[in-house]
Amino acid sequence: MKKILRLSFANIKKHKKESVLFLILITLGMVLLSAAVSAVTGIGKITPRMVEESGCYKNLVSIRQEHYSDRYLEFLEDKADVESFDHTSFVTDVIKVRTKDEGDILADISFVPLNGECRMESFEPDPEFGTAAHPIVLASANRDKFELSEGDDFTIIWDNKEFTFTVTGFYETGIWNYGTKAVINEVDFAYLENVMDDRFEMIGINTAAGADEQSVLSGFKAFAEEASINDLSGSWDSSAYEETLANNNINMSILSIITMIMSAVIVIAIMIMIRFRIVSDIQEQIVSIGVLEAIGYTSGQIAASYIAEYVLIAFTGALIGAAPAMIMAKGLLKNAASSVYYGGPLTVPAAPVFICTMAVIAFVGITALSRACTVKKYPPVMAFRKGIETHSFKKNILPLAKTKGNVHIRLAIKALFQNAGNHLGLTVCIMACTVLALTGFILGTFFASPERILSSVCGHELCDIRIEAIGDIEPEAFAAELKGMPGVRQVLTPAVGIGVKAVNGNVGMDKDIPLIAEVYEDYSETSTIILTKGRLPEHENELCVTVQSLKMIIGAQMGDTITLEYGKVKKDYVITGIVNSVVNPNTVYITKEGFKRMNPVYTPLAFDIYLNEGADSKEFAALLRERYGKEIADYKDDEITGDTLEEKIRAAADKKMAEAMTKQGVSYMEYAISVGDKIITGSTSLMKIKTLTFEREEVEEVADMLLVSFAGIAGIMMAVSAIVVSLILSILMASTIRRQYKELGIMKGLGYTSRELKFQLAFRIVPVAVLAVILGTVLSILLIGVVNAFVCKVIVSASSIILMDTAVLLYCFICAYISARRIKKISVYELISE
Amino acid sequence: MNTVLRTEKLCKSFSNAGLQQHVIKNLDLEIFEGDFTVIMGASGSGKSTLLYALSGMDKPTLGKVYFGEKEISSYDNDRLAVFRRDHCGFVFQSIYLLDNMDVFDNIMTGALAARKNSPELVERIKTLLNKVGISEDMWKKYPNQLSGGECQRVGIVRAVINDPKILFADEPTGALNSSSGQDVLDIFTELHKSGQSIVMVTHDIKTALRGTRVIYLRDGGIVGEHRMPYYGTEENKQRRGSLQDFLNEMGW
Repeated sequence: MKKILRLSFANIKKHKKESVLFLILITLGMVLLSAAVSAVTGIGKITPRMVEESGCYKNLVSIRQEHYSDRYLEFLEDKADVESFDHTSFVTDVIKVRTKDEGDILADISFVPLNGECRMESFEPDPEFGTAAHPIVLASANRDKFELSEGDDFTIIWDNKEFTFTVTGFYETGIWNYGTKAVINEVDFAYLENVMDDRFEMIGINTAAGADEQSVLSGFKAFAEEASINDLSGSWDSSAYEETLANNNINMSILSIITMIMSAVIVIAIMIMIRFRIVSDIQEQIVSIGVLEAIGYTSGQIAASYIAEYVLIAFTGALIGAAPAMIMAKGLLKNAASSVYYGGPLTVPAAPVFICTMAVIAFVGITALSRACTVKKYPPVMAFRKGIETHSFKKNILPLAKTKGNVHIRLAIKALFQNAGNHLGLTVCIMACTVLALTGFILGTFFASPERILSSVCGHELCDIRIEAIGDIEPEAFAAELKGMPGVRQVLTPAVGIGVKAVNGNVGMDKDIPLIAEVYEDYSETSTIILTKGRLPEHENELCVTVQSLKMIIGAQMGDTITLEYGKVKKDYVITGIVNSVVNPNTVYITKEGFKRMNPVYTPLAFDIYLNEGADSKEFAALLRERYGKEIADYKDDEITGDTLEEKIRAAADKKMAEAMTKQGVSYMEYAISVGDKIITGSTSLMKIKTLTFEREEVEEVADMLLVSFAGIAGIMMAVSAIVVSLILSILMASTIRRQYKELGIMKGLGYTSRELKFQLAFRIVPVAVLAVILGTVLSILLIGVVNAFVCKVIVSASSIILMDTAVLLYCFICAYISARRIKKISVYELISE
Repeated sequence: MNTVLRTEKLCKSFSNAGLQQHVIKNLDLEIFEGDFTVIMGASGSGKSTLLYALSGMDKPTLGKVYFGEKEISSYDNDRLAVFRRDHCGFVFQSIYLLDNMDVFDNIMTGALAARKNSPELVERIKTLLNKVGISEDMWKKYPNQLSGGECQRVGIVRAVINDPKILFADEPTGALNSSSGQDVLDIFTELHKSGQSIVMVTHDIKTALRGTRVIYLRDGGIVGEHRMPYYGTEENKQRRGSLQDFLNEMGW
């Protein structure tokens, strides 16, 4: 053993620089892989932990308050599968929160009364809650977001109103409306309930062990619909625990899985390189191997010394990398937890780190073993003959006697073919580097761009402004009018969030599955929807599904027919395409005419406006308000003010009309009021906007924390892949050229100039590098395809591929050039005797 | 006799663990056209270092080397390569054939560094190979399929293929057995007789006997010089005796 280790250390010492680079590479690969695997393992425990620590209900149903009745709960009281349940009211909205520097931040906040939260979770307020004026306990995720501490003011702004709470504490929420919840007292809640539009009832249900949660929820909905004699699809939202768990795990694991893929590619690249390097080492040292065999070392001992060399490096890497791996795993876990706003304690599983590290060491050993065994093929005499058997007559490729053109090109091509094995190894190594660089760059730039992530996870590009219209508008004409406004790129008329269900009896289904329908007038105009496969629906009997909803409709494939139900009307649709949407996983996309088959009176009233690049959405909103009036809520909620009596009368009339439109569904009104001899007239013609939201901006604000962490990890990912690729390529190029020093020295001695020799080297490396980069690019695109299919749609631009490929090629040549500089620098004598 | 190579106060030092080791010290030497110059000396006396400095394989630390009137010691590496290609041939103790090329291609590689391919070139290689006793059946063989003597003969053909002004040889028989060594030396003698200028480093008297001028080095400087007529023009015994006396005088 001592003998073997001595040989290994001698080898490491001989290639000190390369060994250090190798150590860095292996450490990096191990750290990334073990951290990612550990994080993925740990992520699975976060949601159960949230449930356990918060004591919240596992299955959740939220119903718009106007459609809720306590009678629905009778179903739960009688159901044997239901272990316990409770409910609370809450109001939710995207509102503005005043920051300490007097700015405003948009935030999605759900206000829950204290007694409700105490029923839904094991929530206990601080003593200050009872004494403070307008106390509020916020989800702990908001502490950092708004830079708050106990005792601070928390001012919310909506519809020109303001309300200030006093922060009395923070708490870790359960799985319902996680991260957005704020507990307030009953008096303040009653006020908010009166002035905010989005009021809900949340019902939490825990089922008995072994019960089918999904069927309990479906049964509950059916019971409620029957009790209310209404279709509750539009105001009913339920999530079974298993579904929440799966969705949370998918959302939390995205970055860890991508890190895992990247680190797996790094480890594979390292393995390929180890194989290449051992083969090169053996060829380079073959005479020395012969000498060692001649003086009594067995080929097994020599092979073991190569294996020991790499295992020693890997083991050192494991020792160095263990702590950073745990730290990185903790970082990934923290990042994942922050995406579900969990701020509680996290335990990093150490076992996956240990297992991954051992696995990498074992892989390194096995890889080294597979190549080092070739030593056995060379008994001393053959080793002295540099591995060529005495009577083997190799075919002379491109004999120089037939040289016609440039001798340097011929010599380069000749060497290229004669060392085909080595060049093949080099091709594979550069290919692996290209895959790493390209995937790192593509995923890195993708995740660094909030716009791209949001488009991808939403399944479509987010619009700049969404208008919900009101009154007597003609949708097509209104859309055309909007499209004609300056700065508008596209206007779509979606109906979003219509609850439908895929009914029992479809392919492979044994129960109804709730889905969300998105309805567009004409999909040929929806260039903003990111299609993964197939085509968007064109006819009334066609639909597109998300990858996730396809999974739910077990066994359904492109071309299959599924039956949808809306308001007791059932219709068949053919699946024509697949969209990837992590945020709206259970979505189906239907044409307007297609949806009208189930709901003949359907009229789209939402308008998504996409502005040209650089256009200011705020300026455009001002233009919209000028043309179509302010939001209806502003008329409704504004104080009746004015300098003159006429102005006051008009304001009062507008307020009345706005109330009639929102409450009674009036579509058009006119008024004529006689004041003395003057008649004041007006109409609802300037009341066309029910709501106006800056959708992209709002989603970006709300997803701010997540996007920042994505961008951070994306940056790390790019940096790591750049480091790994540059290390591998520099080692490769250095060892490739070093192996040829003697040959180059002889050639230099014969009178070839350094420039001619460098030209020959370049001519050998160019085809290898170009071929490898092309193959690597193809592989990367396939790999990105896998990410597209299973994680989220990553948009790949041709320019980024060309840029990265060029960078890899250039880097190869720079490394080769730097290594080749030695040819010029040192004398022939030194070169030959290296 | 015309001078082909000349040195002026040639110095060559190597740095070893921070210590300067002066191998050649202020050496002045002239190499004459048509001469078979043999450089002798004890191990470490600087024989090979001098040969490589003279041939432009290595640059001197100080001093000058002239080829005719041109000072080659000031050339950069690429100009030195062109100088070697156009004017020098090399035969090494370790032979240094290119392992991945057969006999014919090894010679062609040397030839094509200086000129374009032509049927005449191919013919010349064949003639030279036949002349040194490398038969046609060996032309397609690779270096590891040849004996040391055969390899060295191929090395000599590669060295002279471009009609060099000077042929440099560093212990060309050092790695060969006696019989192969004699064959190689006979080739050198033939080349010399045909007018080839040769500079050879050796520590073997039998090899040195083939020369016409023996220079003896000690501690990086020339301490003695011995002239001899062309090989074969006098009794071998007498030639050996005079060289032996010279070497004894030098402390060999």
